[in-house]
Amino acid sequence: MTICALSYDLASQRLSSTSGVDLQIGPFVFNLRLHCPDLARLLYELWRDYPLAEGAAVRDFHIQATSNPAPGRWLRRDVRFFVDGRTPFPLLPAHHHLPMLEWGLNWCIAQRSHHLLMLHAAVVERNGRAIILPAWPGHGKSTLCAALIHSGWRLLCDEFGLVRPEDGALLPLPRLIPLKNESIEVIRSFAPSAHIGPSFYGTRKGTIAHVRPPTESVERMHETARPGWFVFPRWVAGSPLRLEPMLKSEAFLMVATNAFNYEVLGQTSFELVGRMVDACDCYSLVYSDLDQAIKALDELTRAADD
Amino acid sequence: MMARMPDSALLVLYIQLLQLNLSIQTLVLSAGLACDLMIDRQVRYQISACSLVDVAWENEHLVYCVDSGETHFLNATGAQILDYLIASPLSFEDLLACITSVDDGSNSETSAADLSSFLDRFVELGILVSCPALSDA
Repeated sequence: MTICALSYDLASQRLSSTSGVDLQIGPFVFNLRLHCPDLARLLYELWRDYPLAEGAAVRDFHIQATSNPAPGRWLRRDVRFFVDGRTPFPLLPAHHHLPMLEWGLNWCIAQRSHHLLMLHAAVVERNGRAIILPAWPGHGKSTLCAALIHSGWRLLCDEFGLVRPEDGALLPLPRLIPLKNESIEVIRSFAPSAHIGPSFYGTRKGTIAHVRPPTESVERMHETARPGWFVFPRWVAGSPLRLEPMLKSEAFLMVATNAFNYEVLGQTSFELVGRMVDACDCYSLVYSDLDQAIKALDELTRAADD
Repeated sequence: MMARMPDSALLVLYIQLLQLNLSIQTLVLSAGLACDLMIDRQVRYQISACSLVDVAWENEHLVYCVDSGETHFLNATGAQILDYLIASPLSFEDLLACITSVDDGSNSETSAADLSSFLDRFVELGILVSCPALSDA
């Protein structure tokens, strides 16, 4: 049963109850309690396809978000974020609740999931093989990822390339894709069918709006994928498209330095990244035009499929 | 077109992936360093007891030191030096002779300077140890 199978009133009531709601998001079970009515309504809209993990034996994270009542006409409403009863973050403005919740979940995963190698990368899949898009902030990863998942690719994740050390499989974690500033209109124009939530202005990353993961990506979130390609994207205004092969040693270094926990896993990471780079074709991609970038990646990967 | 690494006689790109601070140090040695060389010709170098794991593509090698948790990026010459030392302990002069015999085009002063720095760095990292030279007698 998914969240949207409940009525909004029931979902909201359960979210604000003392036991909260258990949700399966990729390989993790989140127990979520909200005392923040605006946020509950948004989650009902944007997290609608996540299945309820009723009766889950293990909850990976206990998350609670609580907004204080308006303390006065001139004072800001705040929201407090709890992880397993602790508050790792300072109070944040209540009108940034959703970006805060999403960043909070990223923080939880990055802090705790060291049984997996966590690449800072978007990952999309087609025909069982995935493009891994590692990138630094501002390089256009999320924009490209949002465009790809509206062009025939399945979303595994926009933020975490989760790799299982035992077999090198990529685990899906289909979460909201946070678009920033100009990218919001770019994706509205590129993919009119994309479901994009409201814009949050004045966050620490500027204006943020979230793309809802396609229902099919959430429904298939237990299907792993094999690494097929490493593509390191970089958006450069006005640049012609350049998709160029990279040396594998260079790709290794970029993957390792950009992973969340390469050094934590030690030799396991070294050998795992080595196997992944060995199995993948590695490219750098400089782009300014999304259509051109999607077409180039399509041709690249179809050639391998044929 | 493939991106290319600079192709000096002995270029060592040394990558330290530290627990909290990922840093990349690039060691590009110049001929000018040769005059400052402080080479102890009375010692041999050998691989320390640390465990090394490596992967290689084309002419580039990555070596992981299990003890320190650091990853090192070597070009073909750097990897060749480690291979020589895995086979048997060697003196500086022996190693220099091995390198220059493989790379005829290299400047011997530059090679000596680069080799000296490479050995010093890897001793500092605990991957190599220096030990007294065997007596000729």
